[in-house]
Amino acid sequence: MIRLENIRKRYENGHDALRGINLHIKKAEMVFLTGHSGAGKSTLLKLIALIERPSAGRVIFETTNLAHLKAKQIPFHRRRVGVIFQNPTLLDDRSVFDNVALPLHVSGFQDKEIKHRVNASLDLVGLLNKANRQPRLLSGGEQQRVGIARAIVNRPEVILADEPTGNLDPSLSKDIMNLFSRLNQVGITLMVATHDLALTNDFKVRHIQLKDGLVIESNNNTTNDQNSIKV
Amino acid sequence: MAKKNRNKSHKISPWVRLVNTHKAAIDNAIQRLSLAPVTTVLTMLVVGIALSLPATFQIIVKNLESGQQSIDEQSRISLYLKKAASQADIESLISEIKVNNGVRDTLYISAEQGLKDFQAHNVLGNALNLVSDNPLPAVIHVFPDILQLNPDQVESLSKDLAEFALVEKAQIDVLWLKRLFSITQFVKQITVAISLFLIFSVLIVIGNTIKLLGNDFHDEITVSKLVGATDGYVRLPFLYSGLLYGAFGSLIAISFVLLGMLWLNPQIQELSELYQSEILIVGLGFSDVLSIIGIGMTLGLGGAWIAANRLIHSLSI
Repeated sequence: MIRLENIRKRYENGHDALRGINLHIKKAEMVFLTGHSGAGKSTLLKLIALIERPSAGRVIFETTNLAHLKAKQIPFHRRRVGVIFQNPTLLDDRSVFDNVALPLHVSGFQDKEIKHRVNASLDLVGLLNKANRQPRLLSGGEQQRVGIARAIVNRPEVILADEPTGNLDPSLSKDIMNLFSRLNQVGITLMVATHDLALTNDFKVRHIQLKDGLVIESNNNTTNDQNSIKV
Repeated sequence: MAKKNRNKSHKISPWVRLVNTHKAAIDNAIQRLSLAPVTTVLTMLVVGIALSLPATFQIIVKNLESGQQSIDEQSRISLYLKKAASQADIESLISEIKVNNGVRDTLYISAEQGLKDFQAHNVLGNALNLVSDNPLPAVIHVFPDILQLNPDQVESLSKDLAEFALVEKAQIDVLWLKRLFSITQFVKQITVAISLFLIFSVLIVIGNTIKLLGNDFHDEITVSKLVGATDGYVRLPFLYSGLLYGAFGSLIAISFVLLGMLWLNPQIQELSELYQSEILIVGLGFSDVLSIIGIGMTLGLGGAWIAANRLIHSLSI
């Protein structure tokens, strides 16, 4: 699904965020990107969402070399990728429902279909009863779940989550990770960046450890991992 | 079920998508303007004031031109003919003059007709009765076509006509025409200069307001782009905001002009009475109203376009 070949990224200030990454994420696979902050996890996800471009190397998304996408095609690529950040960046001037509906409005969906899909998404994250609330009145965990609902409402093929539990306490974090696991079970490819190893160790999925812009370890965290076998 | 929906949703017709997008953008634009009512009203006012000035000058130009036209109707080249001219010669001369492109019309007044008119006006009392012979020459009044000829050309036409053998003397009064013509040209030039200047400021005012508006919606734009909004989608509400600024601004400009004319009307009436003539004021016609609104909306769109593009390109995403 996603193939990174010799990816390097040097920012304008001269910082080398990634120094030669080779990775292959299979379709419907779930992986954790681990490593300390500054290891390059966020940069790697940004390259896949085309928020950043690599300095060298290729990112192949399904069969598309992302380097070949023109500026006008980037929005259509982003509709195939759901992005979740540590800070869910919800818009406070509108309800939870309207926040989740934004990607559908952007894609020009009709109101009826929007209603149907937003409700389904909110139901999945367990917030259907709070659809009309203002985001700032929700707890941190609920806000993050609204962010997740927004990321999945467009039914993306891939979800990229950058420290999604960074602001949450352990039990809420566990809930979020379980939610990701359920999404993975319906066939969505997930890349979750986190530095919280205590949280990820319970999940029998591939852990890719980054350090100083390089992959230093990639293991399946289990002897009998179903997820990475499933292609 | 999920599969079925997925298939259905991917078949949104492009037209429905377009209509939905524009509908949402208009709602969004109105919402954005109503969130900052003071800024919105002030911007529209500034646009209105800026547009009302060129509109006023346009009215002045129109009135000068209509004044020019009424003077045109009075302005004529009078050809005094030699006494010896026979009726047949005069008629062939008239048809020769009429062929000329710059001539709108001619009026022939025979010597006898001239005398009758003179007596009817009774200007010199019975003085004419003392003269046995009719002292008046036959006259051809030539009305030049002012829409085609400028005052200089009228003058040279007059010189040409004076060359005819039958013509004793050609008399012409183009001084007023010349004056009015040059005043009109001058005001026209001022109008163009002021219009350009103010059009530029309307662009800046609307662009700046849109830019400020954009700062308020920075998060919304960033999130929208993150979830796959095209630049066009992000730009559209701003374009509608600009259109609204321009449209309402031009409506304000039109009402300023109308109010100004209402206010001036008594003075004009007074002036008209003093000159014992009817000064007809040409106001804003339907086409003027439409063109002011059109210009306002175009400027709004232009300012918004520039500001929105700058905003979109300033984003790091």
